Amino acid sequence: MNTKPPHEADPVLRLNPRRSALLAGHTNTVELLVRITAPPRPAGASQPRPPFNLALVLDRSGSMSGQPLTEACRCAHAMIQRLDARDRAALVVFDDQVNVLVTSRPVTDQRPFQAALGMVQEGGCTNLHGGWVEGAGEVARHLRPDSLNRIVLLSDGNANQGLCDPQEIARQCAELAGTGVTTSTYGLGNHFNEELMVGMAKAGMGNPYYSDTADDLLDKFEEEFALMQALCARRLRLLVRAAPGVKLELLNDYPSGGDGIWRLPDLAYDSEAWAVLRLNVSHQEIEGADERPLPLLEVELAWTDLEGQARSGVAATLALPVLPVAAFGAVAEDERVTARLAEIESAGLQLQARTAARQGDWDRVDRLLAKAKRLAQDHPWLEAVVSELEKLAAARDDARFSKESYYSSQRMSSRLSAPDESAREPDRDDDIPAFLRRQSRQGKKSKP
Amino acid sequence: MAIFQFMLSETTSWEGSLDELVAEVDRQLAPLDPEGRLGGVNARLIRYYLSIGALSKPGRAGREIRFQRRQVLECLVVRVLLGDGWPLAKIAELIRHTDDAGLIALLPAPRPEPGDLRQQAQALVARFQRQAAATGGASSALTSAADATQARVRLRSDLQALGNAAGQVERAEVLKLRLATGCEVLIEPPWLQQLDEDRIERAAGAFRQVLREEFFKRGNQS
Repeated sequence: MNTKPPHEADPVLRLNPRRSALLAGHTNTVELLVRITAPPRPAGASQPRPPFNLALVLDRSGSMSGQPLTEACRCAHAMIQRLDARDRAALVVFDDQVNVLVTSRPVTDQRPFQAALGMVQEGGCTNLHGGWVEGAGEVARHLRPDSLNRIVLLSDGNANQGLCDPQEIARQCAELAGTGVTTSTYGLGNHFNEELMVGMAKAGMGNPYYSDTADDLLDKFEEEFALMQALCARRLRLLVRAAPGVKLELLNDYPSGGDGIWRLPDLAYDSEAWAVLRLNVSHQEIEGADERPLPLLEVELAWTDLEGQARSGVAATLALPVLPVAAFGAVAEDERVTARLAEIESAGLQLQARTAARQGDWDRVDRLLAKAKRLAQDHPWLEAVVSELEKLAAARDDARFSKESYYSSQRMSSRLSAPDESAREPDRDDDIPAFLRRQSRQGKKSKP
Repeated sequence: MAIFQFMLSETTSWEGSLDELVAEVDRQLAPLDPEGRLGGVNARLIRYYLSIGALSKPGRAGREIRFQRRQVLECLVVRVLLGDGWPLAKIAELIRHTDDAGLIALLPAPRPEPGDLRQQAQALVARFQRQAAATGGASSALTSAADATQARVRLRSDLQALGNAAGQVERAEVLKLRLATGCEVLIEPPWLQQLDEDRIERAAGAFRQVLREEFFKRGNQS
């Protein structure tokens, strides 16, 4: 395994196979953990962060009436308060009409935002796409490659006015993300369309969040804000070139950017992005190997740095020795790889359970959760997640179960992790940023 | 609409002679039509468009005819729709009933310079807005110019989503599917191989719109 860091502050690429060997005489399946480790956050008072170019897009439809709208405005207010003169923000609200309350402007004076938020009143239907596209216009007009250009969309409902096709809306989010304008979404309550909201954020290269109640909402905003402040590399892409006779499969649900190219989450200081690849190495390739380790693949990382510059050149190769049965059996499995495999498998079971719950097949839900529980035996975090889902399943609360299992599954298979995670218990995550914490409930506050 | 607002801001106060109109239309047409598919205009064409009412009457300054921003837009729309296969008489009818914003919505987005992300993002947003405007208008038939504007934007969007980058209908006689006597659909077999739910929906929407346009172009002959 050969790692080539061209610069000290660049991310480091590491390849961890489940076993560091191939078994002679057989077709081999190799699970490979690809880890992209961020540098530590620079010390000192002026910690670098990109300027923010944001559009806060708030749903003010009738269903937001009362506490949800009050809380949404409070969250927007809190986010504006965290911005400074480096940043730009716009404020858009929508029901069946879309209104730009504050056009994009530098946040040198917070009063226009506060005044506008103070006057937001509930309205009618939900033209979610109209609100999003207006926010997109505000961000696009001031897009800079060195800024974090993002639409932050909050809604508690289903799109029922304007363009409503989730696939088409997600396609637009993806297209816009290609120019650097990303989308994060916040679903509130039990009635929003989680597939639309998660689809928009995933395609839009932002983050999906949801909260059960308005009370939990601010915590989610703070989590994203902390993540945005800590970003050190954006638009991460992995390019994987397999050797002849080696077939590749990505087990995470990351968007593909072409043959052998995948888009990973933005990387924050002191964190790790990761992916698990499954390699199928043909019997013929192994038969033909000599005593030297057999080259299996080459991985290259590309990203955009804080100055908006495209970067690449960090690469690693994997070559494994071919061993006879006895020697192969003595090679230990890497626990980091098995842990991530368990997470991905659990995420898959949660998705299956969600489908069953939506069909009203609670017996199947119970069976799938029991299977997930067995899988979680040596993984306290997975166990805690499954226990929370079991509570929702026991209450036969299909709306909440559907949302929690969907967001939990997404998070589990595409999250950033703390580099020292394997050495710490999940309930000791309190001293790390919220975006790295292994939460047992996605729709609740992450703080104890 | 940011990209068009920019274009219009340049021409809001525009005024010029016939020759200057020709030059301005060619200048504005260039980014809309980098391949030169639509062709340019000349003084003789402009006079012809005026004679059949495809262009609105220009103003005068003394004895001199002075064209304005509206005529620039009208010329652009005439060239674009002619390129789409519309008869000039129908284009003239459409222009007479459509305001500036409606005409702008009929124009394709200018192609941004490669590498200019801001311009690319703005062009995308403008396209999404046009698409949203088209989706918002429930048009059961092409009974008004406004309906036609929205429906054409939707047709172009549907065709592009189907993989037709130009957003224009072409005909190729390959596989004939007879839906009813006198109603047959021709499809290339490789396209059929790629059918999925999304393509079916898109194709159905596009087919419906194409039929409406044919009906509209032909006019009520009863």
